[in-house]
Parts: sequence; structure tokens; C-alpha cells
Amino acid sequence: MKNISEGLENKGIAQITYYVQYILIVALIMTNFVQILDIVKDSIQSLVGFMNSLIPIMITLMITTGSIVSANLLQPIILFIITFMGNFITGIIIPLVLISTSLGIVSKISDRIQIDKLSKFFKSSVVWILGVALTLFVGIVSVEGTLSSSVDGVTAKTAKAAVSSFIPVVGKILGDAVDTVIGCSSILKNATGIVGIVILLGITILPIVKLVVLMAIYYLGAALCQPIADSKIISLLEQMGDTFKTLLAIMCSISVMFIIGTTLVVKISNSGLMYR
Amino acid sequence: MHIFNMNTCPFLSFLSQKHLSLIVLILLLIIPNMVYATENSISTEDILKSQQDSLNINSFIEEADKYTEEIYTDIDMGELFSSAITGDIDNETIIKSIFKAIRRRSI
Repeated sequence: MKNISEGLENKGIAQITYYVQYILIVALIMTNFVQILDIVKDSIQSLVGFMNSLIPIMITLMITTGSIVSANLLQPIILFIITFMGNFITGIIIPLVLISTSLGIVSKISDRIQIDKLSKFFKSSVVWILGVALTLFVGIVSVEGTLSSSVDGVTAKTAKAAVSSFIPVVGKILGDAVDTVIGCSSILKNATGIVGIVILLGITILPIVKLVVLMAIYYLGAALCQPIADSKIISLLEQMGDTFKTLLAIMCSISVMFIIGTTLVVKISNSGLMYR
Repeated sequence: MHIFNMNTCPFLSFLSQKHLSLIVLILLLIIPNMVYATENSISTEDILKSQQDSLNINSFIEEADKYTEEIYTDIDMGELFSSAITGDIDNETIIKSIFKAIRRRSI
């Protein structure tokens, strides 16, 4: 196609031929891109939906293990961050990726209009926002969880000691029975957490694999086409590879965030039990 | 001052106060160990089952199954939950299911 368009004597027609082939390639790429965007959006909505049913049950199980302070502190934070991140990614981050991709495609059409830097700025902003959100989430949850689990552990130990000492005859038995019930709740909580993590992995694994494959295909395509195709087509393919890489970063960061959140909920109440 | 009048009670007349105190002390030591609540009338499995029912975990498992029924075709989430309770999770089946799903989607 490049040779044909270059072989044409009329420069105007050659330019139009180039645009036509560029639009054809872009149309093919965009079909793929829109499909993958839908998959990413659906996966994020499924993740948020599942987390919204997992976290309340985990928090209830946390309360039954005696981690009342931790549960009261973590529930609003986790539920807020999950819902916020879900809406933020689908409402702001993905449109930003879309804008960045569009700007990248437009900037490849002509040599005169160059908006490549703006596209790169949007992409790096997305990565920075996600990195900061992930760090904040893990930091807040782990610090608050560590502090509150100590309070829960000491409170529960004091309560058990008081029950054992001050209630005559059955005090010790009552304390042991409560310990057994708390232990059972802890087992249930851990099992629920494990099932939750397995399901989270199941929801995220397919879009992640799909994005990895597409990213590899576009980068490989760009590498293989370099000797034969136009430089703008090559940079377009590279641009799409970068876009899929950004979407992969979004999927990975949100799934890691949710998996770490679930693991921390399990771990925080377990560390409270260690005080007994 | 005596608690009981040993001379008037025929049962206690042959006991000295020292003996009586010793018997009371022994009884006090024995009684707390004779509480029937320590018997294994309720097992851990029963407690787990009742908590599972009261917290409605089974409906959560059913709900969770809907999210992954296309991916984990070989894994029943109820079974996975039971195995997680006993600490005997079959990692191989989970990994195989993931690879199976990836293979199915790729083709």
C-alpha cells in the first residue's frame, strides 16, 4: 500500500490514499479497542459488585471474632474506596485513556498537527493516579488495621480475664466457650476470605490475559512491520500497545488493590486473636 | 463463735470444726471442675454449621458462584469453602481450571 501510494504521481491523490489506508487500519484497531474497553469495564463492575457482597460478610465475621474496633474503622474505608475506585476508573480513568488514545491516533494522521505529548501526559497521569490510589489504600488500611487490631486483642483479653475471674463457678467455662466460638468464627472468616480471593482471581484473570496477549501482538506487529510499513503506522501500533499496557495497569492495580484489601481484612482480625 | 451448733445436730456431732472446714474446702475445690458444660456435647463442626447458617454464608457462596461459573467450571465454590475450613485446599484444581479457561477463551 505504501509503495502504491508513493508510486502515484499526484501528491494529493497519494495523500488521500494514505489517509484511506490509515483510516482502515484505525477502524480495525478501534473495533478491537472498544471490545477490550467493554471487557475491562464489565470486569471492574463485577469486581466492585463482588467486593460489595464480600466485605459486609467479612466485616460481620470480624465482629464475631471480637474485632469490633477494627470492623468499625475498616468497613467505611474499604467500602468507600472500593465504590470510589470503581466509579473513578469507569467514569474518569477509562475516558482519559480513551482521550489519550484518540489524541495519539489523530497526531499520527498529519505531520503538521502534533498532540503526541498531550496523549503521553494523559497516560502518565493515569498511571500516577492509580499508583497513588493503590499506595494510599494499602497504607491507610494496613496502618489503621494494625492499630485497631492491637486494641481489639487487648480489649478481648481483658474482657475474658474479667469474665473468668469475676463470674463465680462458670466464669472460666464461659471464657473458654467464648474462645471456642470466636475460633470457629475466625475459621469461617479465613475460609470466606480464601474463597473471595479465588473468585477475585477468577474475575480478573481473563481480562488480564487478554490484555497481555493484545499488548504483545501490537508490539510484535509494530516490530515486524517496521521494515515494510510507514513510520506513522508503526508508531500507531506502538501507541495502541501502550494503551493496552495502560489498561493492563488499571486491571492489575484494581485487582491487586482488592486482593490486598481482602487479605488485610483476614490478617488484621487474625492478629487481634494472637493476643489471646 | 461457731457456725453450727455441733452438740444439737446429730449428723455433725462427731465432726470437729477442723474436719468440717476441711470438707468445705475440698468441696469448694471440686465443684468448679464438675461443670457439665465442658462435655463435648457441642462439637466444633456444629458451631461452624450454626454460624454458617446464622450468618447466611451459603447464600454468599451461591452468589459468588455466579461470578465465576464460566471460569471455574470444575470447581464448586461450596466444596472449596468446605476445604478451606479444613485447611485442605486443592491448589492444582484451581490452577488447572484457570489454565483451562484461558485456553478455552484463546481458541
